Amino acid sequence: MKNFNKNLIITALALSFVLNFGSTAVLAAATTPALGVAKTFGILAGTYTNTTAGTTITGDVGYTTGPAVVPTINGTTYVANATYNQAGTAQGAALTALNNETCTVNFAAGAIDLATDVTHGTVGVYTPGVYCVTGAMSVGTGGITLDGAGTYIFRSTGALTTVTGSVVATSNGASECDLFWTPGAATTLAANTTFLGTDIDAAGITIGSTVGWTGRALAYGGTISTASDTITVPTCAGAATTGTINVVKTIINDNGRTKVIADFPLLVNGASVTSGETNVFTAPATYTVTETTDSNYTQTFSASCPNGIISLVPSDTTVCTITNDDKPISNGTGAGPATVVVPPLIDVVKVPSPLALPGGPGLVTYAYTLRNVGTVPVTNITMIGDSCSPITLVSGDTNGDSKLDTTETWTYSCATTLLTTHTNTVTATGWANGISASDVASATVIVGTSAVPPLIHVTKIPNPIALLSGGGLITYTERITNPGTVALSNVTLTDDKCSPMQYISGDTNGDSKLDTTETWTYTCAKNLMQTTTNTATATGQANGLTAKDFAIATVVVVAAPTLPNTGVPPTAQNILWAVMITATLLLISTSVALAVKKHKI
Amino acid sequence: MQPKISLKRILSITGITGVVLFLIIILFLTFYLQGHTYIYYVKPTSTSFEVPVRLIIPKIGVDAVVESLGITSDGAMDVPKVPNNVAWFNLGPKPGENGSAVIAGHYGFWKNGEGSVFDDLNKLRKGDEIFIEDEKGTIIAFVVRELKRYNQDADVPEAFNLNDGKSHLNLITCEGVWDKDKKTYSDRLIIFADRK
Repeated sequence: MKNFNKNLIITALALSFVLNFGSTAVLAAATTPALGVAKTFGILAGTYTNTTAGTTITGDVGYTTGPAVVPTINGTTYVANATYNQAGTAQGAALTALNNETCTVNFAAGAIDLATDVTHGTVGVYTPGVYCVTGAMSVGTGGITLDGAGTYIFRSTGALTTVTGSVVATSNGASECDLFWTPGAATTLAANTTFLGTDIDAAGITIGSTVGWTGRALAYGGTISTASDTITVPTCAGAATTGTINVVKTIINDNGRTKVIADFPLLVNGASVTSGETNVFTAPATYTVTETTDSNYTQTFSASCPNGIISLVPSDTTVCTITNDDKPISNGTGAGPATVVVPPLIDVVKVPSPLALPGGPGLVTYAYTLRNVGTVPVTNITMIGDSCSPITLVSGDTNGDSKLDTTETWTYSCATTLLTTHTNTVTATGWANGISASDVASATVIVGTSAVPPLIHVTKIPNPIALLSGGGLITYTERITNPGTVALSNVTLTDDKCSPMQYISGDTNGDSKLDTTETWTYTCAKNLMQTTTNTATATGQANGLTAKDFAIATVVVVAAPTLPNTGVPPTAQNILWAVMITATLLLISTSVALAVKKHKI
Repeated sequence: MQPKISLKRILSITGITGVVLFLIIILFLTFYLQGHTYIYYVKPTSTSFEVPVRLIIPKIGVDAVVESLGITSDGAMDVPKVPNNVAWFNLGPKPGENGSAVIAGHYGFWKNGEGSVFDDLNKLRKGDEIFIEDEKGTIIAFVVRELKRYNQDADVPEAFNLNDGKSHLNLITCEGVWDKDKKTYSDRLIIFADRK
């Protein structure tokens, strides 16, 4: 018993040492969590309320219910879409990470005014650490200063409040990028507060009048209200932690069915996405693209998302194409289509102006050029941009028939303010003969440095574009151009359903760089047995950046039928034979009987 | 005592038998000659071919009108509406064009006692000739390469999909045992022929 007690004490001591040691180790390792998709959001709320003019948000804004008075937003607004939901997920992940950080300072239970507290160290001055309050926390009149580089976490079980005119400041390398507030109840910032850092508070964030805040108000699922405030998302260093996914739906109604894109709701990891819309997702991560399928349509994924699986790497731009091809209609008439259906083919190019904003955030105008590179007029044109709206048709529909004819070139325009280096993507979609066609163009604008980003464009034209039953040889001609201003090196071209891609010509000066005056031509031949939608991806590099463009084309092949039912039921045949045999036997027996009878006579 | 068979009786039986045989021969020759069509074939120089209108297979006495048909509601190749016609699959190549032109015909006896155009398709052998006449009167010849039998449910894309840069003609009909439930024969016979 004595030994047992002794062992128990030793074990307890050992555990205590380990736990203390572990605790100390964690204390030293307080780190700034990745904010992922939420990183660019100044406001992320379930309901965002703003009833007065004068609020400026420099950063992205996301909500499900929007404000009565729309503030000035220098960024993108996401309304209850996939990116918005991804930001909410990222907010939750960041909060979990923050909550896992062990407290370095545990205040005495009860409300704490951080500006006047004397228990943690110098009054009003805080060094990097995790400050835990059991109760409410506030920033009083004297304000606080964060001193020194490192991560700061202010955690409370109660509310976070500030008093009018209070200030949160930094010194000696402290950064708002590394400052986090995680109150357990609502946040209320009084008027004229100067505030810093990221406040994660789903219980709601009320921002009083004329507050200047460099940071983020993240209350996904909760309510945020502003009133003539200025909220600016800081530019924080760190490796990219997001990528984009654009799910593009292609529908082929060559057997007379009539479903449209909206009939196939698209999901990424269960979250709804819109066809053609580029959404931001945390990376690296694996995502699964699904849709509400229809048994009358066969489903095919592009090679970028085999079986719907996408391995998203940071900074990558992924286009996942799902093609739904209709099956023959069972209408009892036995009549099938009499002709081969010709699919549409469109091509979109996007050029931003300027390509770079070396002086910092500024206005960028995107010029979009949409052409019909197929053989039939294209109707129901839509242009979906991920971070610029509205995209306005400037000119091109010369005959005013709302159809993109093969002789027409439609130009569109859209202007937006960019805060940070950004890749903007547009998806153009049109219809002809019951078949949809899409093309995707993306362009990067650099903000903050004078480097000029690369731009690349690929066009793919299959010949022929439609085949009779049995299919045949298709030759894809793919042309790469450089709509930017710098020559591209390391140019690559791949096609998810055709290889090898053979270079034909175009590098006129033989420098292996795609100059702005050059058009590089490639071809690829493939025997197609069935209707196929394939995606070509062109990449090129300049100034340390990679430009990417996609070209999507559908070739319709009438499916080989099953074998015909050419048989006639044998019952009719048997009856006929029976009649014939009986008749023959009768004839013979009558003849014999007659002969015998004659003989007897 | 052995029964006597008189010469007269023998003559009578022989005569009747002769008459019956004669009738049978006449009937046979009538059908045989009806089934045989003699055509004057010159290999066409044209490279463009029109919709086929007539199928002639001298070996089995087929001289049939060609209907132009697509697919049925359940995705099968459509079939001719009358016993003596054949159907060309109009979503595939025309006979003479590169690829596999496909023609289907019925097998079996109809309720009116009429036989079907491809009842004797299984008698074709390698080397037999098949002729197709298009709507402009051009006649194209094909030579049987092989006969293949498939299950009724078999998916045979190669019958429609041969893309070797040459012109082929494939004839399809039914064979085997009648399946009451599925209302079809158990097998399909495909004659694969190449352009002469």
